[in-house]
Amino acid sequence: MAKPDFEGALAKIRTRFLDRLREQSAELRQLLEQAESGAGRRDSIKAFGAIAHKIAGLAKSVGFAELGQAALEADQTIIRWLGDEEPQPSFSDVLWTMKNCLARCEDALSGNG
Amino acid sequence: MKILSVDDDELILELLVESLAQAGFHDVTTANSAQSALDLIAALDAENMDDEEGSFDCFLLDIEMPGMNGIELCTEIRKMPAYRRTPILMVTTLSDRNNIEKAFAAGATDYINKPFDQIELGSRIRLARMLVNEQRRGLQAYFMASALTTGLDDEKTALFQAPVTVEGVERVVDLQVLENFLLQLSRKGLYQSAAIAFKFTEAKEAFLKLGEAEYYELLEKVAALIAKGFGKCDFLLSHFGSGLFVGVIDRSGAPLPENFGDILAKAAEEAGLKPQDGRPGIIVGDPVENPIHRRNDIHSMLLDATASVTEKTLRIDAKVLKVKPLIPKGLKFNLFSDK
Repeated sequence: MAKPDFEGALAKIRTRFLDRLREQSAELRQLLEQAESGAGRRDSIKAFGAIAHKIAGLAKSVGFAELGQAALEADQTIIRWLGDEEPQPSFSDVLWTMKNCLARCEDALSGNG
Repeated sequence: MKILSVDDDELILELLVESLAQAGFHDVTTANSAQSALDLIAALDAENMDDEEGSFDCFLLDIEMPGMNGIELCTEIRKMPAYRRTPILMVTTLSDRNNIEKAFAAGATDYINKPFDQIELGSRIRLARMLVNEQRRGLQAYFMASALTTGLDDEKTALFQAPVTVEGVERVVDLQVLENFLLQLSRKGLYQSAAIAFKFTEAKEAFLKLGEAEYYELLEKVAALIAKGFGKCDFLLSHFGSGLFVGVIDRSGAPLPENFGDILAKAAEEAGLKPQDGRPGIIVGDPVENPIHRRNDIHSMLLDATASVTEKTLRIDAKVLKVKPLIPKGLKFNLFSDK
């Protein structure tokens, strides 16, 4: 069983994670819109992947398992889409994982995560 | 145990510090980039110049960091004599075969995926520490063995059969690190691996004739020849003991070179390792491909590969001696029996 001081430290990290997630969510939304509009699509998707990667590494550990999974899926799908290994995901698959990741971010921020 | 944890995400570093404390590791230093880590190591090691050991007992490295990444940092740390055998665990979200293989090839001891569980984190650090202590004890015992013994008595036999780590050859790793690599692939559902074994034909004769240090140098030479022989094929190679080596390759990557056996036989001959009786200096077994779901599957694949090369060696020996080969049924050497 976790010690009380560990639980306390984890709660502080969780609060800071949520503070950061607020900013990240706004960025993710903007990048998603850019990807959908087609302007600088590749760069926007790459930047989305970098943020999703950071979220994926921490979300589950601070109590947001669904968000962690959605961010991991977005990160991995984007890596495959940007790379040259077969089979490549379709652009619509990439968009779906991005939208799903953003939706889970919003769930976490609204207390439904 | 003094641990250096390197990650560009401050929250991950905080979580690592707390999780490590929870697992009983309280002496943790953090760095938020590869360069800061190298600066920190240099500064601390300069303060403790009299110590042969480095200032840190274990490293936890993220892979994706701006500037120098964690795999490059691992390579840099391994270049430092004080940290040649220090446990290095990669702690990363990346779970593709390419990164896993690159990390182990760069000298990583183990690979942990984020998000990590603090209990697993603690046990994997302890396991890595045990592995390094075993390697160290194994090498010490190896070189301290009496050079006065002339025959293969029990002690000598144990030394000859020991899976002594061959160092200093790129992509040649400790046998247990090879196991960790295969386990990590299986955890991620990456089952496309095959094993292929190699026999240094005159290993036993060389071991009896040479001192331990010279025999060890010869093993390095053989490992380097095999490593070069793989050509463009990605691999990790380990010494199994008794002059046996086993390589693991990615079945979905570049194929093994055609006429691999001939290539190595020629390379061994050019390096002066061909026996006078005409046998090839290095014998290559058949690749063995098994699905890996459990630790036992890994042992099974590696042992099947060694069985293949041993059977080939017995057939070649019998041909040279002009006798019928005596190949036991289900030939396997249980090298993992005491693990």
